[in-house]
Amino acid sequence: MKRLVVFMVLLVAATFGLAQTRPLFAAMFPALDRPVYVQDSFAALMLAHLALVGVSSLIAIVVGIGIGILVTRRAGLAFRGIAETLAAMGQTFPPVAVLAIAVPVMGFGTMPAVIALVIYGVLPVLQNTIAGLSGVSAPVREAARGMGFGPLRVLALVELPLATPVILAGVRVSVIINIGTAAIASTVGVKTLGLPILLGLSAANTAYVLQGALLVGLLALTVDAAFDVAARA
Amino acid sequence: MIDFDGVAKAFDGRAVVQDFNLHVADGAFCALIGASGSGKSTILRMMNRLIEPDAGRIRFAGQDVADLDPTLLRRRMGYVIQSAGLFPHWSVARNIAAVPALLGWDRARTQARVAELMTLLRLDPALGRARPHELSGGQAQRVGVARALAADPDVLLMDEPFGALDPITRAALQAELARIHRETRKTIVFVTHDMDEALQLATQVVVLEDGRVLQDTSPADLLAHPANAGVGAFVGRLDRGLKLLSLLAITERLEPGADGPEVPDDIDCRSALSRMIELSVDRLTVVDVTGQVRGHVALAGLMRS
Repeated sequence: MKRLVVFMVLLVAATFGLAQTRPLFAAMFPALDRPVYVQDSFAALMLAHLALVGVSSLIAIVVGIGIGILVTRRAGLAFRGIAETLAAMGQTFPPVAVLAIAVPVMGFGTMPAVIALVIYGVLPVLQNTIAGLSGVSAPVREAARGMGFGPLRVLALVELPLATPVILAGVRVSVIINIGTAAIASTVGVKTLGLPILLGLSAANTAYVLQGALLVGLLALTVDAAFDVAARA
Repeated sequence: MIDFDGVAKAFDGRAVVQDFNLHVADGAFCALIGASGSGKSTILRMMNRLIEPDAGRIRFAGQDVADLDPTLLRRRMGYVIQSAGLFPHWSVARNIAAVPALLGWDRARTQARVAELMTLLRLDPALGRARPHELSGGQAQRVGVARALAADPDVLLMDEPFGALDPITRAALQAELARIHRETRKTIVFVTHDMDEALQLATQVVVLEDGRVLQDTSPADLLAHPANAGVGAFVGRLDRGLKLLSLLAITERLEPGADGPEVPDDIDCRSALSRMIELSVDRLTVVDVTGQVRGHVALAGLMRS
């Protein structure tokens, strides 16, 4: 809890205060004409980044948990191998490559970015959903069935609650990776905290790179601390 | 209460249960006994449709179970398994109240029932708030039995419920179950591979081998007249006489008048014989709990079978 508060304060301070740190970056990088990124407000970038992460993570979580539940049901058992393989492929595929393929098909913009992030984010959720649901002990499941819990009740009252810690760990990994990966979406013209980083890299402006990276890093740490609090609850 | 009519079941082409017929009367305590792979668990699990038979009919209280909704059917049958299978994320009280919750009982009725069952199973009321992982094996199985009895089911199905317990805890729970059967008169179907357990608890013993019935009779008849060598081996050749004695209450061999050292009147004849050997006497005075003399038993009387 303490960690969460500290990171949150730092994150808010950096988001709204970074624009006022010109003297600091000017001193650090005296060769740069514009030592602080001013093309967009950091708050606007943070909001856009959060929106992109929020939407893509939400889809990845729903898809990951949904497929995880389906392939652990008796009817879906046959698809478990395929689902795991596809999700694993999704993660070995670099998001940049997904973007490179998506852009010619769908053009620049938010859609290809969301798709790339979803594909990338499904695996940890799916893997942990399968692991968590399979980890529910057979006697517990048998007792539930034998007492007259229908399939939905077994899932909702027994399997999911028991699998929640494992599933939550997968969601945590997925979201944290997503926060970092979302920065790449700026290569296809989406406004994210990656924008200062990309501009900084192409214009040899290390100060921009630092500012973008600082915010992405703080956001990841804050969200991770929030998951920590949730996992302990 | 439960009838099997020509039931068969095969797994992967291997017949596990073949042409199986069984009648379990209302209020009976039926033990299904056999070695591993004899099909006894499969038979039990067909009763509440956790397994569907390939052929034949199973009737429960006159109705074909195939016509009943499996989920609703199971709520009318208590089910106890070897490892208890308690829900680890629920308190003991909530575990016991699982089926009443499914049936939509109100809070007051559920709480009263949970308290009643914890008393019946001799569970400390303070354990109601405990989680299953805090319980000993014996306590967990007591909760398992309480949970199965919660909604006052018509029958109790038990799959080697005491198999994982140490001998002392097992004996205590066996005595508890015998008492519950006496008090509630519930029909119980009990799977075990322990002949002593079956003989001690059951009113009907069904000996199984390779999915067929070797013998289906009362414990005393099984001991006195094993149908064939297979059953004979199962009930034990050398100590069959002692087992017969253990089915006999000491009060059934009572003769008038006090004679010899005192023993209580709630023991079986096998324990009486053991006591005679221990004390090197051939007569024991039988007294009730108040110390009142009820009579005596003689060695010759025990021998008369």
